[in-house]
Amino acid sequence: MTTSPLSVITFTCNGYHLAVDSNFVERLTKGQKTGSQLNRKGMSIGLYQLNDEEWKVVELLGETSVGKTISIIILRNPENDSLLALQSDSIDQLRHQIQVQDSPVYENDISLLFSKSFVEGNTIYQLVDVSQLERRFPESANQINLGGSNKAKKDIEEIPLALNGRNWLTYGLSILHAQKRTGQFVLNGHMGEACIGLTLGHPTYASHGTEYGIEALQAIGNSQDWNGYHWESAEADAEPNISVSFDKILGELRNSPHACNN
Amino acid sequence: MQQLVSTNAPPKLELGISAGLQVFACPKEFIGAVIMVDAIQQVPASPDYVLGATPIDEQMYTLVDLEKLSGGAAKGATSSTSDSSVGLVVSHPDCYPIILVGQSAVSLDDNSTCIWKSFKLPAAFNKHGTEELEFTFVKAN
Repeated sequence: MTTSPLSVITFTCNGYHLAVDSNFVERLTKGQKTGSQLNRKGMSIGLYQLNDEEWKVVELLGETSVGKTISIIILRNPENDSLLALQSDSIDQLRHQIQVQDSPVYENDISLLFSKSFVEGNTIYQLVDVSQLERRFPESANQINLGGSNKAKKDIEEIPLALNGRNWLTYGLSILHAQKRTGQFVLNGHMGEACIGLTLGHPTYASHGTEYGIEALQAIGNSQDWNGYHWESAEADAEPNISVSFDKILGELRNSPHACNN
Repeated sequence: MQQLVSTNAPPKLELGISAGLQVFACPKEFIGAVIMVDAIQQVPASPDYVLGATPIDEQMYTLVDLEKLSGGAAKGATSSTSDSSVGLVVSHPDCYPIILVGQSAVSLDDNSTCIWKSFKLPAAFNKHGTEELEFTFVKAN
């Protein structure tokens, strides 16, 4: 059975190549393990300290030792209002327009989480079924009130952007898109400042030097000049100069003839 | 149990794969290629008989260790199948893409002296149902 193309964020976890639907991604952060709540073959739930709050974090396919600080993907299941946190060794990149395939499901609860996969290059990615994760392991849900997460003004620095790295811009935009952020993402470099305006997660405005719109976004993604960034939650006053779909924007950025490959 | 029967009647030649002390035969029409198995990636939460997976033509192919699947290797024991093994790439509309892995591929016909057998795949590999898939054929007279 084939399904509609997805935008996904890929990551590694205990040597496995995994992915989650980017629509579920709330934010990316880091946390330190303080203890364990559940241990079972193939999945554990660890207790972590995240920004002065205790969170339950799902450790898929292996356990992390107490005291270790790891990258964590915060997921929101649209079927309800709880948040799930997923352990990862390293968070990789956004892939857009991914066509996933059905995979064999074996007779255990963990295998049910990996019923779809896709191939990119020479790597097979297993898509984590977020709905199944919460259905099978309800004890993994966090009921932490973030004040309506998509409306919350969380620190943009929680998106760990490796500026000037490969595909950093598509990666950052995908998170802002998932979070439905409204505001301005401002970049600083030796050559000056650039700005990307978003309305409810959709990039509507970009400027970089004398360039505007999609061309400005491409120039921002291609530049090696950036040395810092910050977020302003106020919407830009400028007239919108981007009107194409989000997937089209990601496609334009990835297909840019000058896309950096470092 | 769903039988994946060859439409060749009777088949002149089948492909087999030796795994442990046994030779398993598969109707030739279901075999897309014979390959050397390498670049194995781990598959999460998979049983003992799944060696891993490998990508071919942008599709995930699950590698099935026939020796372990048939019970020829004790659970948890190392199968004689190794990274340098041979795989039969199986293409069948009712079966997820799989590669049957063994030590060597063999051609089987009426004059074959080895004892060869059919085999069953667990229901997990059935794309459209919950039955086991049996690979079988009619031996030529």
